[in-house]
Amino acid sequence: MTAHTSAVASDARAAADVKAATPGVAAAEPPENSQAPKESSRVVIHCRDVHKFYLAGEQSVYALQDIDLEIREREFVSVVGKSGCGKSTLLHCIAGLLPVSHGEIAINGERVQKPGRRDIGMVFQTSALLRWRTALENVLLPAEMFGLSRKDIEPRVRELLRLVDLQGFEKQYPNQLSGGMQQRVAIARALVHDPSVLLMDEPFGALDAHTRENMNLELMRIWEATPKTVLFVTHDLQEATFLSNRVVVMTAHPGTIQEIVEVPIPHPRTRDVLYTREFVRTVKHLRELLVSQRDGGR
Amino acid sequence: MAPEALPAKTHAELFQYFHDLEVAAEARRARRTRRINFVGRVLLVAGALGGWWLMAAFYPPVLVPSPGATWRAFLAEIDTIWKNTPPTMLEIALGFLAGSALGIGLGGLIAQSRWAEVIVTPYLVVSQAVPKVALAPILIIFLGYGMGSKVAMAALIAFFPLLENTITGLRRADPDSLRLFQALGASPWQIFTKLRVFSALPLVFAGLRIAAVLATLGAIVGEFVAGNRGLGALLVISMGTFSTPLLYCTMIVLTALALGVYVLAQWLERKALERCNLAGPGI
Repeated sequence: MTAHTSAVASDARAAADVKAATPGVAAAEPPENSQAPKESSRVVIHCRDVHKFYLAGEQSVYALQDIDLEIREREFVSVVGKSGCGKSTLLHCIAGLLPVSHGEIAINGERVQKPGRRDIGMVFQTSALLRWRTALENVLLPAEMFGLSRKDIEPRVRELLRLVDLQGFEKQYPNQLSGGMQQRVAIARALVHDPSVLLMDEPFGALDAHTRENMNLELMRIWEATPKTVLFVTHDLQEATFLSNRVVVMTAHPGTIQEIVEVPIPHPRTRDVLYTREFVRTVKHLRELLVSQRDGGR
Repeated sequence: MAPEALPAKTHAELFQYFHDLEVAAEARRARRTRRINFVGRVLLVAGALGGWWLMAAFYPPVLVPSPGATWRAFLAEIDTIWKNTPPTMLEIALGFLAGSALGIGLGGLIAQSRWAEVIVTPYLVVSQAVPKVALAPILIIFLGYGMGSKVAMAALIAFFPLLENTITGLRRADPDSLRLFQALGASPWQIFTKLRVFSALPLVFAGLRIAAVLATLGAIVGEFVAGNRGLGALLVISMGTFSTPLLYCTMIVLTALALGVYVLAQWLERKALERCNLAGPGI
């Protein structure tokens, strides 16, 4: 019990540190008390009547059909579904990497038409680190793209590397880091320009189960310290439940939203959450939803 | 049958015991490997020399000179060989530099635009099929008998692998990295200088290594067709005068030259890739 409370205390301290270092993160309420955002908070990601159709060689793919989704400020939302259900496509559309066939996506009230918005940070399944750059130089990349001076941003980069628990690894090259550490560098890189939205495309999908669980705890700690609006794509139901305020369940062919499940678990969330009744019940509910889907034979 | 008793009891003693055992076994294996490698390589050279010597015993010296006769010819003609080496080396160096600069430059230019790539690709395939050596007479008619035509030949033949490797290398950036750059709103020029150039480096350097050897080939072919100076010309002259031992010497010197160029290119490659942390397997 002592260990548990001290972990919470250090989380709170980390949160206070980061807030002090990043004036861009305006916290209306203390993050350690943050619950699932209420109806009163602002809609940050808004998908209205989104359809996405594309040709992949001989096949025509109805990747997204009639997607309506509202994600509020500082909400952590996961998207789950079988492979090929269009969850990554949805994320890429929201990032502006893919054009939608119909409908509209808006972030912070501004329509998404092309990539390169400063209010988005992205993390991919592979760390996408540049192996000719050190960890520090990799995290600096977005700053270079957005024309921020290295001198001004470097203290923040070091702060972020500390936040993701990589202090002392600034000068290491990606191939000298483990898979989990690489992905933590990628998370720091996604946060460096202080975006309000974090889009994560199966970021821990390539990691082993043990590392993955630790990364989930780590991500939760980071999110509780610097609450962003997060859209997180995964096929791991436990991961989705542990991290999220809401879980979007998608069906495949065509990709539609089957149900949006609320996760009734308060923050801060630690490893103990995994044994609670609410957690197990939510995972069970999600699994039943996926099982109930007609098997498309894929 | 019960296993032999271990000579130690405590963890530390056992650790030391197994450690020593494994270190000794490792050392034995390493010694054995070194010995086999050395003996094998010496045997191979001895076999080749023996085969050469045997051939020389069966054929008259004008067809196959013995290793001894070749060595004597080398000592006798060392001035001639020495005099003819610098022009060939200069042609190789200039041809290599010009060909690789053109190959990398044009490859980089073509990779700037998807359209340019699409339009140019079929012609690149055709140009690959052209037997470059057959262009030597055309080049000589156009550029004359001087050094220019040989440099051009060396450059032409070194140019193609670099063009192809540069384009392929610039194309093959990691898809997630590419998506990241797009998501950050990177300009094509930023994607080129911060991502594609580095992704292309390993292939460009592999191309440089090939180009170094091909430049040697190009220079010699140029001298074959129209040369009064250089080691290629010396080959033709020795053939014309049936100075077979000199022919053999020149051949060996040319091989040494090409080997030198290759090793130099390899060294450059290693240095450059190490500097960019691109040596070894991927992340």
